[in-house]
Amino acid sequence: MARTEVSGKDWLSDLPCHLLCRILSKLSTKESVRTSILSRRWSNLWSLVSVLDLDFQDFKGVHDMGEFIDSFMESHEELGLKLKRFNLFYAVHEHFHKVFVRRLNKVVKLGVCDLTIQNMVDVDEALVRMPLSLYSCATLVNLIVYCVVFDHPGSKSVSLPSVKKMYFEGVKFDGHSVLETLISSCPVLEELTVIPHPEDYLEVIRVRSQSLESFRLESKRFECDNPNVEIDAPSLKFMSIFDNKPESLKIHRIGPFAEVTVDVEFDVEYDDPSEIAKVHNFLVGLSSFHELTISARTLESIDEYSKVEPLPPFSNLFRLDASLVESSWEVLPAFLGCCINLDSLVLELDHVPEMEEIKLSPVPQCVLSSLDFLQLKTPSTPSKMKLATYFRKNCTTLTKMLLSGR
Amino acid sequence: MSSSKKSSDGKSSEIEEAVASLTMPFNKILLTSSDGESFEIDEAVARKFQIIAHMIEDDCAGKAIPIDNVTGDILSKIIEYAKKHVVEPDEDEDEEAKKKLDSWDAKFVEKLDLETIFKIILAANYLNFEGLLGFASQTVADYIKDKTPEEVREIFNIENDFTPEEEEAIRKENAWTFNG
Repeated sequence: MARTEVSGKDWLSDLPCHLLCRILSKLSTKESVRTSILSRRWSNLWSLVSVLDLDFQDFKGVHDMGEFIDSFMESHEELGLKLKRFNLFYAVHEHFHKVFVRRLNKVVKLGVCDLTIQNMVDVDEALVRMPLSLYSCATLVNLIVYCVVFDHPGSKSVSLPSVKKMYFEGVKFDGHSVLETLISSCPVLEELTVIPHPEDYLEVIRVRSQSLESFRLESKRFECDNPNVEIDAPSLKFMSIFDNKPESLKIHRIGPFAEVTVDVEFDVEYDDPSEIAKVHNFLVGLSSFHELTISARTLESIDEYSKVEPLPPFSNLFRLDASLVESSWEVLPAFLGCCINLDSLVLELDHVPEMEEIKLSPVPQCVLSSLDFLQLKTPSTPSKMKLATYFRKNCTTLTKMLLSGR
Repeated sequence: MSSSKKSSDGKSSEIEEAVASLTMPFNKILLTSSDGESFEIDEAVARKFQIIAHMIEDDCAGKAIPIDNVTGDILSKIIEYAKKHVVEPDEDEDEEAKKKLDSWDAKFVEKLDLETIFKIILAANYLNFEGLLGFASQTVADYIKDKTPEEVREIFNIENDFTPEEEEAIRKENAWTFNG
């Protein structure tokens, strides 16, 4: 906190209107409206702010909140002001679709750039459906939605020329093509997050985007199947998959140095050929990436799978960052055996294996003869130096080794 | 799960900065404050101030640019911030660099008193320096957040010029904001 000088002067209120509104725009609407009581100068500033950031729980009921939103937007319209950010935490007990749509249409009309809607309404009670006007909102840049529904646009054209970031969690799309259409209609899309839920019925996620740089997939489904994923994103730099029981991953195009972070678990019946095929397809998809950060449980799953089926080669992989935290050394070599062009290896261990362990599960020759850089992140124990020596002796191409703590 | 990124030696943002300054014509710009203090800065830094970037584009930035509305002490702080933020690290690409910069920002503003922060806001607005304007506005907003109106009045020396009736009327009208 800065030292507050007791100068006696009210510097804050002397700032011009638009700068005060700028400061107020960093607050929730509730905090912003509360400044109305500070002094006469402040009594109406809150109503000029280009942000509506509301939590339904602050109001007595749907009607009160609705009235407030309506009058706020009405005065904005009258004064020719824009509404740049609309953030709504929506936990109503009664949801009225027509009224909701009418309000959101106005939000779109007022030139919204950042739209966040977190719906906590119980799925059985009512579906909170997004207005179709959203599909052609020219000003929208960031879209973050939780547990809402996107109806099929029908004949309406979908065009989102300014959208850079989209976040969908627990979102239902009315039809398999809706999400795909949304993604492809954003010519400057950079970041996409999709978090499927058990109740959203999403079966396929097709990501087709020339501009997309970052894609995050995080599944919250435990019992039922996860969606199949297809990616055609030549600018993709980062992808992260956090999944239980991932389905297929088809990679058509990704960026030249794309990195992927994987934390998944296959809990499959290995006597079921279709399950085996699913895992195989997933691994083939992963093998498109050039840099991979992989969790311990993923390595364990791959190790189990390798006992039943051969692993595909990971010939594109040049950098691997693997964690064996809460796992053991023996699950590592199976995966390393597919890394035929590995240049750089970072290993995170919570305990260093003894030489006997390593003798039983040695680092495969393909890695020992291609590795250029090694980093060992382990606690400092005597066996750490033995492990380092193991690599130094057996890895002829190694030029740099880094030993660091965990 | 480990989260180390490409550069294990943490140099990628410095390299980016070096590349950024190489790709700009290696010009120096001289800024003179209202009280006669002069600051020579790289063109890349000066371009953070949109008002100057436009002058450079329109070719009317001479060697020395007078900044009439800003005193030397404030201008020096603004330039300090601009130099640190010439290249903004990408959260995805370089988490470490972003964290370091956030920490620097926090220390930067910690040392400043409120009067200075307001002057910085006015100057950043005049120079059209988006990044600093946003950051300074957030800093002031953080002072207002989670405080009662009485506390806010005290921090900023705001005089309550309402009559008791007016104040009561406002409390009633905006009752939902005064609960909890």
